Amino acid sequence: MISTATRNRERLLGLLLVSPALLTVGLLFVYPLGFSLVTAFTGEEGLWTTANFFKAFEFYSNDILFTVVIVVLSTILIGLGAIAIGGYLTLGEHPVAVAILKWLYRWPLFIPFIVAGQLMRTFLAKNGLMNNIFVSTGLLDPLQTTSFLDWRGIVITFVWKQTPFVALLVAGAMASLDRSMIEAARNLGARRFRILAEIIVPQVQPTIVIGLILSFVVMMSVLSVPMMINAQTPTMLTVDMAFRINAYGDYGVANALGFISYLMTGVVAWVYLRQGVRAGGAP
Amino acid sequence: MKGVNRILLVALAPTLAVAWGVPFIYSVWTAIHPEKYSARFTWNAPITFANFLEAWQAAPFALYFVNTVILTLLILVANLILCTLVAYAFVRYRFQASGLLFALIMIQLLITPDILIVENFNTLAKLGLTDTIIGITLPYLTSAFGIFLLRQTFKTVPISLDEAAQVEGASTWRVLWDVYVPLAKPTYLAYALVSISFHWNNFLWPLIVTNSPETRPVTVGLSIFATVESGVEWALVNAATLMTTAPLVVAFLIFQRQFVTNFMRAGIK
Repeated sequence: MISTATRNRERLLGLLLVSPALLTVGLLFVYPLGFSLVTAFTGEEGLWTTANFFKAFEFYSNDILFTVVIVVLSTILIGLGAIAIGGYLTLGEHPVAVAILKWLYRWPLFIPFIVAGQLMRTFLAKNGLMNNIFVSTGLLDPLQTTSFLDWRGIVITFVWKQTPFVALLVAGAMASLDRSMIEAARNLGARRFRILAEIIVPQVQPTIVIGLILSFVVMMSVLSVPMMINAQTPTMLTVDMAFRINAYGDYGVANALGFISYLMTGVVAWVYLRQGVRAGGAP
Repeated sequence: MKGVNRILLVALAPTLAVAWGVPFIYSVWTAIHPEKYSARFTWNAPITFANFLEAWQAAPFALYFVNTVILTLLILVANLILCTLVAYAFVRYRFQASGLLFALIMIQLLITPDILIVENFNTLAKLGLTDTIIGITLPYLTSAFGIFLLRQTFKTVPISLDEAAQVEGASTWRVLWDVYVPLAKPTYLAYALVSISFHWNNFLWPLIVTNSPETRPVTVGLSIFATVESGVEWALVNAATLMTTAPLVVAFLIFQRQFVTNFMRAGIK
């Protein structure tokens, strides 16, 4: 039986342990989040207005759409890449091939986005390695080469950089599965692709979803990659936010664009929490 | 037909591996060869470190490295202490609104501090902390990801161990330090590598907060090479790029096995 004094002591101690973290969260997360929302809805005269949002949509609706398409497409490709890598590491039968893949796929984990951007600029440029390979193998004529430093470059960089993170989580989840069901399916003659799609992926789905949500949020906030790879319009919202602040000191529209970004991540969060509730456990 | 499928499947792994490895390998190639060999792959291409030297001299990289090490370590130490306290509190104590507070901290996972840069910059300006290393670290002192990972790990510690230590007369701090922390070592290592990697790589926030070489980290220093596509010296760019990321790659090579094993074990379940 826990006495009231013990319970009170526990409450106090719990709050005491949490308070330093709460202080930083309050000062540098809750406060700026609330304040940016207020600024997004405040006009130059200090009155409530939705003008910043109208301006944001008027100037940047293409960029909003562009951001959604880029991030969603990248997330889908990251998911497929992570499943392919995880699946191969789990079901692959050729030890050398598995070892090569295991050794090489993790490298981008430790490469910063800005460095990934630099690498891809040299790789995807008109005179970069990718086109050089195409030309030297006779697939393209030198005059036919084009630069991939546009939306395709952003997607390729995001997928290249984020797939290893999700693949690491997914491969870990796949490795911890009970092998008996996989072996039983194999004994019944099921092909590897079918085992992966119908037995393994459904079991590791929560891990895939979490990895993809974290990647989605990260990609929504990256400035360096779109800034370095896609020097044209349409571009991503982070570039627009930086531009509104640097060029015009326009915090209202910048915050409105930020608010639109939270909404996008908020929708993703809602999907995740809903799935967690449906699964009957804590997300 | 079965043989063809098998060959295709075996070829899939190296293809995926090459797709992920080629940009990095190409970067190494251009960095250690003269500019004219950046698109010519011949075995007799001369190896040179002149690109690294030139990149090193283009900006005060030694100072940038020192700044990066200081800010990365400050954040790591703060994260390890604060996340440990919070995770322990959420696992072992019942207090008012603990569920709400946990949800509040977890929302951080879904809204990265980068989106809040405008207001955070204003807060730092009010505190007089712009263009300081402390200013760069402030928004990252608490990590929702770290709290989440440690909470998951602490949950696996049997309560009987906790109670036994208390019966022996151990204080709360003693129990935390002697029971929980040692059992969570793999999680700490995995998290430390993720944290170091993330903050070493962070670009946008330091770019906004700093405006002098005395406080700039390496990623911001690297951005001086980020000019438009035309006229870029790829060899120089790649040498600077590799120089920036070298400490992380070395750390990854040293701790690769522990990192992967521990991250998988401590991962999201």
